[in-house]
Amino acid sequence: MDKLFRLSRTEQLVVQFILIAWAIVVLFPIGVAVINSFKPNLGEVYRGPLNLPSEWSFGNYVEAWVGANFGKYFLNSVIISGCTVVIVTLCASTTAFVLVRMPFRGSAIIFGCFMLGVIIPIRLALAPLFVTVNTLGLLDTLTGVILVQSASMMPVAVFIMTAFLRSVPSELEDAARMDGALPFSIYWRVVLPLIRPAIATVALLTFVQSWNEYFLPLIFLQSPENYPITLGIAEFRSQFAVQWHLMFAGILIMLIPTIIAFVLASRQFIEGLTQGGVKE
Amino acid sequence: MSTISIKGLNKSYGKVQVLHDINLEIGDNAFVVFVGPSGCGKSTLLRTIAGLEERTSGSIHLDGRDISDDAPVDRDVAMVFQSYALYPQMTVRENIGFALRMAKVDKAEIDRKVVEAAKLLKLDKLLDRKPKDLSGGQRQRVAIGRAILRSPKVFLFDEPLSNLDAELRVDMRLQIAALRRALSATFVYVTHDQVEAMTLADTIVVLKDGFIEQIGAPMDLYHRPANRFVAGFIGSPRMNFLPATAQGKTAVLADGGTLPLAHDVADGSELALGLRPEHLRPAEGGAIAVTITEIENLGPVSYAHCALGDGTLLTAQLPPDHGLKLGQQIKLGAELTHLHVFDAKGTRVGGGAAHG
Repeated sequence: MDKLFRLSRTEQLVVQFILIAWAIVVLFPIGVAVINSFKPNLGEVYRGPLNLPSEWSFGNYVEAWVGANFGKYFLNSVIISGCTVVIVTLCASTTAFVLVRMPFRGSAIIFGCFMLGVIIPIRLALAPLFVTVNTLGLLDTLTGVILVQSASMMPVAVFIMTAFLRSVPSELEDAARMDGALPFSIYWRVVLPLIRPAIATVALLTFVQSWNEYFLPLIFLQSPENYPITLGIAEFRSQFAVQWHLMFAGILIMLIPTIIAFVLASRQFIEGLTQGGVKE
Repeated sequence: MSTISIKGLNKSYGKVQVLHDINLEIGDNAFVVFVGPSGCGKSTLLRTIAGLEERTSGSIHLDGRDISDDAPVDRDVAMVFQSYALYPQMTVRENIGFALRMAKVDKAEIDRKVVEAAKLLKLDKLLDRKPKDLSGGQRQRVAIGRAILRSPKVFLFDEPLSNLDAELRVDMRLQIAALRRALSATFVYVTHDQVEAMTLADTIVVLKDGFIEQIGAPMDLYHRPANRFVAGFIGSPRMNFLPATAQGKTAVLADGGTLPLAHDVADGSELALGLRPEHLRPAEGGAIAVTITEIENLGPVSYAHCALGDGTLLTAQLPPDHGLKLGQQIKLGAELTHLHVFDAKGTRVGGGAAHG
């Protein structure tokens, strides 16, 4: 691709400086976490938080995982995030398909409600939500948290999916109708493969959001054995009186799935953000 | 047998009516082309026949069976789309066989039919490629293959060549004509390109603003257009229209020149005289005095774009060795047997031109 702007040498230096400075700002806390997570004891963290560890030890990771019941928290997080991702991608893509391709009386109102959901934070609806979840008997269950998190992600997911679906030519679906495909076949065999970038985008956003969610599990879960990793890390504070070296190890363990998800989905994700601008 | 009969078909989107009282009989094994400018309703009419659009009123019959309320797949029609509409994630083989897979046809049978259709369309070496690895012409052939495999009674084509470059378009046009001879079926074809319409059709249906303007064989439409719109639309370069006033059996042009009329027209009525470029030639003592504003030399013929005294522009066909120059003032003679006369409303006056 041709360069849009040609920068002079000084301009290049300024731009590079800003980018490097920004990278340092972003990487510094992570770097501190990494260094300290390898320190053998808390004293070393306090004495020189920015120093390298006297000896590199993986013991903190093992201790965080085993000693602090991290495995259980991790598993809960995987269950919550995994189920939320499946529910949101499935529900949002079918909803978008119907709203865009099979409009009916009132479909605009339904779309409007979803858009309202994008604007209004779910925390505002917490009181009625709590009552609903309680009435359903889902308080302090993973199912309750999964359903609430899924609902909270639906508006943005529907928004992304409808926007993407509108850019997909409807002639393909016409062709499938001529070929005798029923609506579900059209959705499953024709539309779903076409909106893969949008699905990747939604799946990634949903995963990261629900993996990192602290507030909703805090409200809807009470027993520690149901805690996801975000609440589990908070437990560290009381459990170890802020054992920073263990805490850092825990945070880094928590980061790994998000990084893997980004690496796996990044290409599709970027496609999803840019598609529609240029027609093939 | 595959005849289509459309009776009193109307189609509206909300308050906007896009098809007005369409009545059309399409004969067995006919090649019918719907032609007209963008927005004339030709694609909507085709999609209504296909069942992709719902009619507002009226009925569509195929071989006497009312198909107006049938689902697209139950109508025994297949469609080829302008954008090819190939499923990008499937191979050519899967694309062509998709309809039969949906119909739960036996796998070996599908494979046999796919290979057969691919041979007919010279796609047999491309069966395992994805649409993105094909050229425009190949993609269009796959789209046609997908239609063929359903062995429909009627093939519907929605501007199938408009995404191809000029050279390929001529090539595909010939292939479609050959296909039509190979398959015993009725073809309904939509285009805005009147050359495609003229070369492919047995019958052309000219549409404008959702109304049928004229139905006829290509040469009928060329020689006897029912109104000024059809006259202007069929033929390339398009017909010239000269404003004139009737005086007995004579038409008086704006600059005082006169042309004889074959029919009586009320004195003083405003007329438009239609003359095709090929029926206008430079001639000593011609009735139409013009100034040449542009000359296009195309090889076998040349065209002179000229202006009348009152600024009306017209085009005349010239022999290759015309020797004329820009700005030159010449006189044009008209072949009066090919003079088309239209009244102020654009309707044809009298029987009109003899067949050439």
